[in-house]
Amino acid sequence: MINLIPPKGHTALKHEYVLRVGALYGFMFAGVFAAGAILMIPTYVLVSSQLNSVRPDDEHVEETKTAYTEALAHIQEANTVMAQLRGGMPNIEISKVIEEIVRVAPKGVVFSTFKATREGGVLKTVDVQGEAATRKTLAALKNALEASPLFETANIPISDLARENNLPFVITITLQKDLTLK
Amino acid sequence: MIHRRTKIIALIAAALFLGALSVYAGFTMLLIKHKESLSAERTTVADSEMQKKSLAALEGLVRDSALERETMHGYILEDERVIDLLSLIETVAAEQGATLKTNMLTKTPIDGTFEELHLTVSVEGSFDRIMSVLMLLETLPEQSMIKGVTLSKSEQESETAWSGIIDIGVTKYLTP
Repeated sequence: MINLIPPKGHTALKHEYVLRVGALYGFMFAGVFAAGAILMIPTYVLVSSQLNSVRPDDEHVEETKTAYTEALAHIQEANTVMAQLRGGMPNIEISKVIEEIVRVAPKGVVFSTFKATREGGVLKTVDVQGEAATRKTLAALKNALEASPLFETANIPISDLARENNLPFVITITLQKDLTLK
Repeated sequence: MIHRRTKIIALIAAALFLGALSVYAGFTMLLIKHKESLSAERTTVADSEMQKKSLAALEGLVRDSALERETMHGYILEDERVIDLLSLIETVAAEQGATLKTNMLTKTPIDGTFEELHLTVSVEGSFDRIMSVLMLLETLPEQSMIKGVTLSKSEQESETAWSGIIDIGVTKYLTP
């Protein structure tokens, strides 16, 4: 078949043809994208409605937060009180210590002073003053105190043993370290 | 030479294509954003449900421990009960037949919640009576600790004359 169109006209025709095909594709894709966009509308509406339904009520959230904070404050307060109560337990009652000293003392010992002071809430030593009838009585007191499960040592200054009878004494009694209140 | 009509059609096609593409892209972006928001909200709702469960458990604990908490609070002295405590201490001594006098009353802060009420009392009577007072002071209804005791036999020759200085520390809620 003989093409009678001159080369210049042939090029122009080709350009027009390409433009028309391009325009056709342009319309086609425009239609596809428009259809796609329209098809997305139901999905958009669905997602929007789901979003509105799950979005929590701010007032309710605030109420929950307040209730949680209040409840937590109660428990924290109770924990603070409990810690304080636990921490403030004495290792032993002073009256028990004095009673024990008096209980184990042999006859012939007369007490005149008891001094017990806690250091940091812990009773470690008790100072006792008195008078013993004889040196043997004082030694017996020391032995009796050291035999007691409450006490570790009972220290009597050597000078207190100078006299033979009616010995005034000062004893520093050290309590057992692992004493716990029973 | 391209026909004018072809050019117009091509321009319209291009404009429509770009317009449709923009709308499509815009919708897609919007949808993605909404889906992300939905996912985030669902996570928030799940967290909120967890918090509700935690809150329910916590409220249950608060409810169940109300009595114990009330009891624990009772062990800590409050401002309005200080006078009652002093009266109680004096009554205890009087009932035991000992004479008790409050010499000093001071407060020392412990922390941001509590303070220590420091009482120094002097007591007179027989040894047994003073010991009874001491024992009762060690069992005060509020959390307290006997910090120090000094018992001395009086200079009088009587066997029954003893005097004592007792330091008591009572835990108290901090005065606001």
